[in-house]
Amino acid sequence: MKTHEEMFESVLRRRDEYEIKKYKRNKALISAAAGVCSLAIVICGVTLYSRNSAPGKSQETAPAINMADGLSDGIPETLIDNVIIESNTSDKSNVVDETVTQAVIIEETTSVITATTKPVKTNTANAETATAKPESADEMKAEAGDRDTAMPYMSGVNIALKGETITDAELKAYIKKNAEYMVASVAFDLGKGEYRVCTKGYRPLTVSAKDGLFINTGFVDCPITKDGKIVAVVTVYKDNGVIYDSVAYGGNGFATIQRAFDENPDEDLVFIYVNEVPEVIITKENKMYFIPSSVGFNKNYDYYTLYKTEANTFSKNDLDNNYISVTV
Amino acid sequence: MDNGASSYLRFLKGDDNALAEIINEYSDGLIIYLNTITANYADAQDSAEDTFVKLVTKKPKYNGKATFKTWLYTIGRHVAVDNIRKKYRHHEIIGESTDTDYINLENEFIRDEDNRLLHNAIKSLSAEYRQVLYLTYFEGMTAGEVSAVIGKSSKATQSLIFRARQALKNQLERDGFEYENS
Repeated sequence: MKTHEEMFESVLRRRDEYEIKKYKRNKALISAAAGVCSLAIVICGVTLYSRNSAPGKSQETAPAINMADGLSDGIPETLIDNVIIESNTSDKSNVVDETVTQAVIIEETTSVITATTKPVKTNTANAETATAKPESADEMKAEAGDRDTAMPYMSGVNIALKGETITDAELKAYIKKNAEYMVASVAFDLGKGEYRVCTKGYRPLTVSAKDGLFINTGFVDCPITKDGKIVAVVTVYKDNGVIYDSVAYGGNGFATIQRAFDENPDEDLVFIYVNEVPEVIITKENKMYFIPSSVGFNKNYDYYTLYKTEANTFSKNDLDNNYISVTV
Repeated sequence: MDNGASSYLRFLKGDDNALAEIINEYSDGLIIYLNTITANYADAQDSAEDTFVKLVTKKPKYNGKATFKTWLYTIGRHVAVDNIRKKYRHHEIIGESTDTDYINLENEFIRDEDNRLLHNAIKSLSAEYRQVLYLTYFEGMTAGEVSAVIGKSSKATQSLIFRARQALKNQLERDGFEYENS
């Protein structure tokens, strides 16, 4: 017979196992979704190319690509003039004509796929990001690092706004009313002192396999600082017209957020989450701060401009100038 | 707001100690209730634990329409029924509880001697009767609350409670139990 304590421990252990499983499942879903999207872009690019390169050929007679046949087998000979398929798991090569589409497919157990349909932007502000684009799958893979998934980068992507909006005034009023309670739950573990609950938070851009890219305007993360360092984040969210909050502390990620602020004090930083997990902070120079580092990126892409909106940016000035102080 | 509800809200805000409070407060009663469904102490305990795991992983919304206990027992019942279905699917035999741990738990939870006799009599009834009688007599739930837990209409529940009482009366008479008003 289990005692109450044993049951409590067992429940918490099973919760942790569940969270890990859920995280892995979501990661796999994102990889799969990114793979499917990238493949679709490649197919579209090749189809477009086939139309452009065969002006005398009518659309009806143009050869169709059967995905079920596999990429290398399914592309007719007439399309392969400027297309070489390459894979690092076989001898075949894969470099799609960059004037039409740039796509690289890196096949491995957990496939890493990055694709874009527009020319790569070279950023002169940062010499490191202005390097030539990768010429091979291996080079791209090296740039992406040994990561399981690649951060999506698709031109013309739509960032959907959803959720029940929490206005800045509502947020400030809610935090003012509940700051003591929030701080009390943090101070229980982190000790007494002066805590500052930021009244201006950020609504992160969320990358989700299910819902694509979106910003939940009813989901705001507000840092809590102690002695000038971020020690917790309170998530304020709205559900059925009622505002709730959830305080998280003790995570390794706060040091990374702090570092991003300290190294870029005057910048609006872009916050990106994968599902509900904070993943990456992006600076204007497209410098990435990963929390934790599990998503790959291509340093030639201008993620910052693509993903920046008013809602998901936040700066150290915001942190320093908007807060409610609670001393416990 | 009852204690369970406030503990659950604190848990949703990230306070794990609140979960410990919920387990301390409700697990024994929940296990005994689920035992009226599973008729097996180990299964009842597993189902109770699964119920708490469901709370912490799925975080279902408690809307305050019923008491926290009613709401928790409703979740517990669904979990127990699911577990029984899984067991049947795997052709496992469900047997009666004879575990001494369970008897100890029962004795701890149901201290009054007369109530224990009553509970023993209830155990000999069908699972459906056991459930409604346990919830009515030992958890002090109203017919409305019982109907919420067992997922039947109020009228059907009242009728079930009436029939269960009749069956219990017959059982007690067979056991030689004497009524104060008889």
